[in-house]
Amino acid sequence: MTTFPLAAYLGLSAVLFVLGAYGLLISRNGIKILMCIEILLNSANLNLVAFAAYHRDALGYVMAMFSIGLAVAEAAVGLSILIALFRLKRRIDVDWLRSLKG
Amino acid sequence: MNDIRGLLRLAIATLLLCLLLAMLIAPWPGGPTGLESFAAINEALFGRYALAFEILAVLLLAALIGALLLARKEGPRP
Repeated sequence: MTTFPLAAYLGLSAVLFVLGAYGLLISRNGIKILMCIEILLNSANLNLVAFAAYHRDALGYVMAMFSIGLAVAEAAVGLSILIALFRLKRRIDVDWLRSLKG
Repeated sequence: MNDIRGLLRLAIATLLLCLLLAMLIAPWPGGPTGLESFAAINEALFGRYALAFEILAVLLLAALIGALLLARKEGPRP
């Protein structure tokens, strides 16, 4: 089994984080926004696991597992909210959600 | 809208460059890498953090029920 240096994992995590942030800021499709949030959370998980393996500490893995569980809950609620919104207006983009605009 | 998008791309590229630069500059001493054992994860997850694990289970149940309620056929009942 080959082991990569820590910087490789950190670089991949940085690239994933930037991809997710850019997609989150640029996209108007609700599904795309949820996918970008998942990419962001997974980059954070990758950082946690990489540092846990680097320090030989099990706490990082436990935190990553909790983070994955929270991401699952968030995805379920977000998708159900999107389904409810689609039933309301037959649209999946989030441009028309301006009820709270000041 | 277009110039805002260009500015956004610039900001994101700057963020990526800063992250990679910080990662390359920071000293990572060659410590041990790799998984120690699965038993350590097991003991941490079900020993010290067992309460957090149970709370996560309750949270997942609440999210499941909330998702079912929101995405039902006739919508949430008033």
